[in-house]
Amino acid sequence: MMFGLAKKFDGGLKLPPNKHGAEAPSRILPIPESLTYYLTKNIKETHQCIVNIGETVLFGQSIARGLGHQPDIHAAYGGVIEAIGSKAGPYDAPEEQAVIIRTSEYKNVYKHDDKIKNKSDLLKSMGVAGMGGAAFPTGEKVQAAGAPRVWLINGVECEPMLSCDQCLMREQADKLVQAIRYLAAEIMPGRVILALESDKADAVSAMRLALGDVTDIELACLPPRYPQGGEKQLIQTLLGLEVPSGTHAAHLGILVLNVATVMAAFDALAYHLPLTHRLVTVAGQGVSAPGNVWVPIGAALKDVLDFCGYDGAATLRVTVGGPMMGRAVNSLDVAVTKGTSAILALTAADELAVYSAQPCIRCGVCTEVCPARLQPEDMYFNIRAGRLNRTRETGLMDCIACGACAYVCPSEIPLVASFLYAQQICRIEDEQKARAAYIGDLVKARDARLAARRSVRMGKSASREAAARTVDPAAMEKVDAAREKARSKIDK
Amino acid sequence: MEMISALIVMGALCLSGGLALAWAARKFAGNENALVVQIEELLPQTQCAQCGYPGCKPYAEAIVAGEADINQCQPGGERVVKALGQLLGADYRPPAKVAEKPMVAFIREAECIGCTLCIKACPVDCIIGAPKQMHTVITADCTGCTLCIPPCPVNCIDMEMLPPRWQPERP
Ligand code: SF4
Ligand code: SF4
Ligand code: SF4
Ligand code: SF4
Ligand code: SF4
Repeated sequence: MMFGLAKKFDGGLKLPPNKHGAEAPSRILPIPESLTYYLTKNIKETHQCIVNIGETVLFGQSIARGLGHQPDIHAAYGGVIEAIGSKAGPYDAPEEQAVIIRTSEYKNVYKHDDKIKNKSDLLKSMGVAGMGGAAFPTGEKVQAAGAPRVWLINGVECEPMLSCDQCLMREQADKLVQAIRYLAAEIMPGRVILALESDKADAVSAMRLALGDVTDIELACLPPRYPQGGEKQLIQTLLGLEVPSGTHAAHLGILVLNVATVMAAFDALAYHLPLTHRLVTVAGQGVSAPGNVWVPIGAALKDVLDFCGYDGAATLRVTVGGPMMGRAVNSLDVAVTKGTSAILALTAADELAVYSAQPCIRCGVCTEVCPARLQPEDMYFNIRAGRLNRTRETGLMDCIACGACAYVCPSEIPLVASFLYAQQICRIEDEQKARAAYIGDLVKARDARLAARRSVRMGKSASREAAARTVDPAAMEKVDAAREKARSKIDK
Repeated sequence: MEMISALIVMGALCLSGGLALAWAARKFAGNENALVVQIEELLPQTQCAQCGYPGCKPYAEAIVAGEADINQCQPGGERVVKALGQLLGADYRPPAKVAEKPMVAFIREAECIGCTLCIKACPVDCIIGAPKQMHTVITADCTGCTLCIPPCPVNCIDMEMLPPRWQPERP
């Protein structure tokens, strides 16, 4: 069934698609010698390693448990755990903690028992995360949405150069339809809409063919526009609904999953297969054979780039993710993660925008294109002036870092970089505040405990406690010695 | 000449800072408890006594009483000075002492004699143990305040550095 458009989202841009190699059939990366799995993100622990150095692991075996909702991590090929330690990372911090597997064992497959029945727990233990880029835990998302009013399957892939979702829809349209029907029976949505952009003719016709006369999955072919694939933008375009600032689609009873995530969730729920491989777009003038490649999660960028004829001399920068929202990496030892949709070797000819910041001329075009209805030039000034609170009040946290503002800015001001920085600072502040509140609660609980005891044993412990808390110089010496020791341990 | 103007500027700054504090104290007069609570909410709650007062609340009270300056909290650093300045209308001044890297306490369990003295000292109740039993620290709750170190009779508590919190670079 075809779908009528509600309205278009605010702002946005038309960008040159530049989808080189999008039509080529997908290829499979030969097994790399080693695989790297990150246990931290910007040095903050996200996973707990459950294997030891020297241990042999099988294909699909779980090697690290996700903390909180974080999905677990599984070995994409069998091998021996070679190291657990620092490794060049794909996020903002230069190095992360990681587990490194030397691949060697390819015959045996790890068998997961099927004791887990709850679907969001199963998604977590099979390692399913959003594959559109942000790698948000899928189990958590599905749980938050409950039985959604609308389930949107996002195949929009609006960023230039990216084509992995397009390739997946073209090559595995039948499996995708099967996956959607299977999951729809699990999550019971009111409506199911598969959205993609009309300029990907091959994917559109493959999906039409696979859907045949299926009527319960609606197909929405949208005119291309950037950043239509953003969750909030897609909801606005398709349903005419606005997701309020600071809330998620789940609040409106809407679940949005990327097409590759749907496939991974299907494998996890129907076959107990963990997420270990993904389709990655390799493109840019710095590779001679661009296209889409099936890559084990954990493979080094270097392995993938070399497979596609990488020319290091011509390449200006390598980014992970698209040219608009992706980030440049400092080292080709960085590994592919679940959210790595693309690896781009960009040459001077590829660059969409070159940033050589000149003064803002207050032309206002950045405000016009912003899909989140922000005023980028104002936010930028406030950040420069150190007024983070003010920036926050004007919607900093709603910025989806789509890069549209920086792309159109005639003064080539690196607006997004500045917003990302400010968002991170705000997040760290929030964390510190939450921690202070938590510790404050502990102190209050203790005071209550002491007060209760004091009323039983009048006064005695209170004076002793006060004595323990006063700072006398002799005691401080002991403290200084302990600090000194801690410091010398770090220096070693 | 420059020297003199610098002195004048500094003097004026100190004066204005002092005036602001005095003004804040008067503005909130009669409402001191509310102000103490507001100030306390801005403090990191480490209860480490490095500000010279036995905890965050006493320090907040001292600020309201006009005894303490706003830049004495070490773990709070610049952020807390700024926040307090904003609340009290005082000018920014750099923190009196620069904060150390975050640490946690670690008890060498084999040496612990189970005297329970460290438990009594810990402001966040994050040491578990019972009389004559081995004691241990709940690392996740430990604020690194070092208050448990002086009371230990056998010196078996170490401080350990935590990996530094990653900070983004300004673009
Ligand atoms: S990067 Fe942020 S501010 Fe700029 S256009 Fe996109 S959402 Fe708006
Ligand atoms: S587009 Fe650039 S120059 Fe124009 S108002 Fe925005 S920041 Fe300023
Ligand atoms: S220095 Fe800061 S954290 Fe420590 S007790 Fe004083 S106010 Fe609280
Ligand atoms: S264990 Fe020691 S350092 Fe940690 S919070 Fe308690 S008293 Fe402070
Ligand atoms: S003060 Fe020292 S010896 Fe006593 S219980 Fe604590 S760690 Fe053990």
